[in-house]
Amino acid sequence: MNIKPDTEQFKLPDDYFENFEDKVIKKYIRRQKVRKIKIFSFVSCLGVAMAGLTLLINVRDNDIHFSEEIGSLKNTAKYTESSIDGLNNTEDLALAASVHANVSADKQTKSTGKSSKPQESEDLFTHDELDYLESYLNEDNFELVYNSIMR
Amino acid sequence: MIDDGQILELINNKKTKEKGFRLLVSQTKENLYWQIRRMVLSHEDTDDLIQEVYIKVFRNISSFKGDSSLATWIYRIAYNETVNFLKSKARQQSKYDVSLEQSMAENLQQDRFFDSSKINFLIEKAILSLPLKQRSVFTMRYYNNMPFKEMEQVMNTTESALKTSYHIAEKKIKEFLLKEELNF
Repeated sequence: MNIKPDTEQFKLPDDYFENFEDKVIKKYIRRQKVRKIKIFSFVSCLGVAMAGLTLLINVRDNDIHFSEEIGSLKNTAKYTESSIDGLNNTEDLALAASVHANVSADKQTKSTGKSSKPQESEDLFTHDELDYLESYLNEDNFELVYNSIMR
Repeated sequence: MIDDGQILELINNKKTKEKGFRLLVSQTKENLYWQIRRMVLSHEDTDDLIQEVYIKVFRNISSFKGDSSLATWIYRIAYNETVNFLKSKARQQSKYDVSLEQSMAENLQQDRFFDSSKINFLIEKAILSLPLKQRSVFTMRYYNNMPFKEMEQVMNTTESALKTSYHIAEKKIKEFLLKEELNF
């Protein structure tokens, strides 16, 4: 087979292989830089995505926590409300008891003609005091006391 | 000529890495250029591809196991890159109802870096008529004088399969040229 063509069949620029190494190495360095930037961007994006995801998970956890707290607060509020209701009931009861007592006293007064309230005279002097007054109002003093009262 | 061991030693040292790369490029650039150029034909495409090949070589030099010579390993990367390039170009070309080979032949006629004399153009047309694998075997053997043993490593095929491909390619080219001569 003798078809091998002239070696000059394919040509190329005269200075093509001059500084060829520089050209290739410069391109390689540039590509490496771009690659590093791409990797850095990818890692950064991944980091941001991970941080976002963590934040979302935290927010969701906090939501659950807050929901629980709100639930607990609601329970406390309900308990307080019922306690206040209870207190109101107590007040009502006390008021009702007082009204009931007055009504009962009035009824008794009406039926017996005698007030259930304590006698003032009985409250003013104790037995000892009455004894003392009795002994004081002997014959000698009787006239003096009588005169002063009558005057 | 510096041997592979020395070049690798330089590349593996951070301080002399660039020097190692420079040596590697200067020792292989011309053969590599022609290996690619014979397949893609255009100088512009060859220029892009050869740079891509070297960038790939620099990036993957740590994966070189020493099963073959450094040059053979680089030719293998170049062969794979070239085949991928031609396949992707063929896919693009299929949109325009013109085969890649037809378009390459047309471009070659207008190429300022090609001596488009009648015989040269016919020979290139004959080579372009071959299937991609036969074309690769033929150009590596015929133009680059690559031994079949080395081609075995570059193309990952057996030596006997390569020899068969080469003989079939040779026969087809002869037939093509005879036919063209009769027409001429």
